[in-house]
Formats: sequence, C-alpha cells, structure tokens
Amino acid sequence: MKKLLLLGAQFRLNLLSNLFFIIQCALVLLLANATISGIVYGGFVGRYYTNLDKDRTFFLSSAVKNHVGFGDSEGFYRLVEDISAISGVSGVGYQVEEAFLTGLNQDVIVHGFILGGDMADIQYPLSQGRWFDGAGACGGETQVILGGEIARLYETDESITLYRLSAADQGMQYVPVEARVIGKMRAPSFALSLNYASTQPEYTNMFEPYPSLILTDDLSLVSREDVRFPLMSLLVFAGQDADVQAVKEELRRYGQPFDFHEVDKFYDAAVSFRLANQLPTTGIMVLGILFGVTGITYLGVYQNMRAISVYHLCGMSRRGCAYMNMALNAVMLAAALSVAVVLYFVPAVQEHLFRRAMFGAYNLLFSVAFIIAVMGISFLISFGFSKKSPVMALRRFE
Amino acid sequence: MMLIELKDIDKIYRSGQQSYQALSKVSLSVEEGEMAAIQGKSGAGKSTLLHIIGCVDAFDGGSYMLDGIDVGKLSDRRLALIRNQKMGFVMQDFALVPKLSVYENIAVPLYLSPGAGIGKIRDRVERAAADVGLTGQLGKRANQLSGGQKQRVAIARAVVNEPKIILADEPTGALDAATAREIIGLLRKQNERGITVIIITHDDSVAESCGRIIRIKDGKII
Repeated sequence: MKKLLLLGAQFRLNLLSNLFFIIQCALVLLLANATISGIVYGGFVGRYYTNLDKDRTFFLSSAVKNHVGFGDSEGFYRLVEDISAISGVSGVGYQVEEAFLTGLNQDVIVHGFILGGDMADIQYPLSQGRWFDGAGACGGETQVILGGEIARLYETDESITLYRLSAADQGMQYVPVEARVIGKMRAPSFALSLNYASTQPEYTNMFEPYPSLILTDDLSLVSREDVRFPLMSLLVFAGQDADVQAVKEELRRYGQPFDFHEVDKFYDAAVSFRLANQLPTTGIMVLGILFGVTGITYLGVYQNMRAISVYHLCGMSRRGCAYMNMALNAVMLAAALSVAVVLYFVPAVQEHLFRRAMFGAYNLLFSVAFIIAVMGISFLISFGFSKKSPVMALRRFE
Repeated sequence: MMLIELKDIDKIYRSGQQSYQALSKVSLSVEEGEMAAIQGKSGAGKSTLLHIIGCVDAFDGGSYMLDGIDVGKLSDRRLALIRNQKMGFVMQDFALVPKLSVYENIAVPLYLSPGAGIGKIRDRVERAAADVGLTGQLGKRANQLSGGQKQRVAIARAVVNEPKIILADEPTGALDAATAREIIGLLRKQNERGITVIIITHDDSVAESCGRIIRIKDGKII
C-alpha cells in the first residue's frame, strides 16, 4: 500500500509525458489491430460458409446488372429461369433484401435477407438451432434465423412478430408477420452481398457484417412486384454430375463466373497486396512508436532520476528503483490498453476503424507482443540504469 | 563500541581505461552521539567518504563496520534497509522531490520502511515537521518553499524514521548566514538527542562548532 502511494506520487510527477505515453500506446494498439484485422478479415469470412462446395458453386458477377433493367422484377425472374435451364446447373441462389421492425423493439429496423431460389442450400454457421428445412419456403410456418444483437433478445423455438413495410390501398403500412426462430447465427453475423460485382471478387468485399440480421427462406413475405432483387450478381450451383467447365462456359453468356477456388486465389492475392501496402506503413508506425517508447522511457528514467535518487537515499534498493520505473511503465501500458478498449466502443472509432475488424488470435498475438516489447524496453533501460546507484547516475547526467 | 569503523578504505572510479583513486587507505572511527565535521578542498574525497559511510556507494578495499555489522558483505537490499532505518541524509541541494508536497517528501522514508504502518505515518510526519518548525506547511509543494524551509524539510525527512546517524553534505552551502545558523542549530538539536551527526562543510565556523574536525586531502585523512 505504501509503495502504491509512492508509485502514485511518482506518476503525478511527470503527468504530461506519462499521458503522452499512454495515448501513444493506445493509438498503436488501435491502429495496428485495425490493420491486422483488415488484412486477415477475409480469411475469416472465407471460412464462414460451412458447406460451400468451392468447385461447384459459382459467383456469377454482374449477371443481374447486365441483363435486368432497374426495377424489372419480371426480368429478374426470367434471368433466374434462363440460368436454371442451363445444362448442368442444379440451382440459382439469390436473396431479397428487406427491412423489418421487430415485435420487441419497434424503433429498431433490422436488416433481413429472404433467401430465394437455392440460396438456402448453403448454410451460414450457427451457434444454436438448425438451418432451414424448406418448410417455410413451401408455405408452412415462416422460419427465421437471427444474427447479431437481435439474436440476444429471442430464444430458439420462440415466436417472433416481424413488421414489414408494405404498400396497401391506404398507403405504406407495417404488416405483421408471425415467425418462429429456428436458429441463431454465430457471431459476428455476416451475409453474402449480391449487390456486388468484380472482375476479381474476394471475401473482404463479398461479405458484409451486420449488427443485427434476420434470415428467412419464406419468399411469400414479398410479392413478385414488391421484390428488391439483388442488383448485381447471383450464385449458381452446378450439379454433382455436371461438367463444371461446360457450365462455366455457358454462364459466361450472362456474366463473369468465378468458382470459390478462384475467389480464394483472389483473396490471397488481395491479402498479399494489402500486406505489401499496409504492413510497411503499419510496421514503420509500430517501429516508430517503439523508438518513441524507448526515447520516452529514457527521458522518463532521467526525469524520474532525481526523485529515484531521493528514494534511493531514503532506503530504496537499486533493484527497487528499477522496479519503480518498470511499474510506472506497466501502469501506463495498462491504462493505454483500457483507453484502447474504451475507444473501441466509441461509435465513430467503431465505424471508421473497426467496421470489419475481427478480433482473434492474431490481434491478441500482436497486442501481447507489443506489450512485451514495451515492457522489455522498459526492463532493459531501467535495469541498465540500476547498475550504478541512482545518486551516482544522476551526478553523471548533471 | 564505535558506531562507525572504517579501516583502510579504498575507492577507485573507473571510466574505460582510466581510473582515479578517490580514497586511499582511509581509516576512521566515529562514536555514537558524536558530532563531527569533514573538511577538505574540492575533489579531496569528502562526498565519496560520506557516500560510503551512508551505504550509498560501494568501496573497493578495506572494511566498514556499522553498528557492529560488516557492511562490505551486505546485499544491495540490506544496504537499502540500513539507509532507511539507520541513516538520514541532508544534502546541499536539499534532495527533495520538487513537485511532491512537504508531507510527501518527509514521509518518503516511512513509505519505504517495512515497519511503519500506514496509520502511523501521518503522526510521525507531523511530529517531525513540528520539530523543525514546519507545522502548517505540510500541504505546500517543495518547490514553493524558500531555501531554509527546504533544508528544514530535508532535516525532518532525515529524522522521521528515528535514525542513528545524520549525514549532511554541505547543508548550509546554498543558504545565507542567518539561515545557515538555524540549520546547524537544528542539526545540533538532533545530536543532543543522541543522533550521530557528520557534516561536510567548507565553513570553518560550522566545523569548529562540531566536537571534532576530520580533515581529508587527496583521498587521505590528515
């Protein structure tokens, strides 16, 4: 307790430079973690689907954009039928975007996807419950799978009332829909975006995170005229006995087909590109900060030297003096970590830095490595100075 | 029994290939309760001798018995404990932490003392402050005080843990004559209570007011 009082007093002595140190470390923790997350984000989402057949599933880029006029829902369904008719194609997947109000919180609009065609054939990972069994699509009870914040509000097998904005004679009104929660998505909840087209599609851009998400396979919730079909692309599935190359050739008439092995390759190339571009900048920043930390530690040790030499005179051992310096740095690192964690939850920081951040083993590894590096620098400098008594060291400095 | 017994103490400062012998075969005994002055020209080895007596610096040869304990064999941690429990320091530049309060500066030895309970620290600090005439100043920061007040704080800090020895390195060097007399008076008051006081001083009047003068030249006692 007495030593803590002394530590507190020592922290106060160089408050400004200590705060600067804390902010510096907090920034590097935030920025570097954001960079790491951004680079490896796609790998996470690449493993998101649990039963995606990478050879036989095609992302047909720009198919809708090239062949369907704006708002032409009939044209969209014709396109789906045409593609379905190609020899070897076992299904076409698309999803209709919808916005729901939920029964529990009618102020919150939740993003929803109505999985159309064969879209529900590939499953998102679930933390609870089961995937769609087709009953909802066939006119039975409407089934929903929840993801994100809304998943916390309901239990599996619980009923949920959703409100959908629909055109009626009297104008737009919210229409209630009774549904059953059959499962919950594993956090964080991502959904494939078909409002996306690219000549080199890769996971980072294909998948979007959603704070709350509702999935359903019940297309009866929307009318054919009222559908908001995907604007850009489709998923196409080749049958087990199909000649995949032949199917791919046929699909070229409608758009650019990419199987998911190609998506993997584009992702790897994108990661390498991002590494080549971002890592040097981030690496330079981290190295710069570490040099800065070294400088601040030296400065801090010198600034503290006068006080430490007084403590030494009054009965602190040389090792105790070194520990005092290290303890100060440890306290400041802990403060930096806390500041970084608190800042993470600030909406502006979340939105601009961490919109797609995934915190996993790699972030933890970097953060731990950074903390060890800073404490290592602190240890080396503090114990380096402790070889002589602080009084002697101070006399040399002066 | 002698409180301090130095026998043939050598101290060599080394810097790369160069070395400098600061003390050469210094032998000195100080009885408990003595008040002694150390005098000598600049660079004679006075501060080095004081630092060795105060267990702040190590020596390269000889032996040092302090209150019956062979100091040369002690670890840095034990030496720190001896400085905390048996020594008090009063330095020319006051050796205070400027941004800490008077209270905190006086309390530093108690914060480091294994024996002082946190509840007793305030009492002891207040008594030490009262002893040097600083009652009512405890909340002020050290850098807000005059030179004389700072040296009083240093003396209060030196005695707050009830040491056996006070080591003062030019305690009046930065003070005017009147304040210097007050400071020496306070040190004498501590000596009258049985604390051994050793003062480095250039001031002959201060030296003559001590019971004994130890003269040092070129690292040797003369």
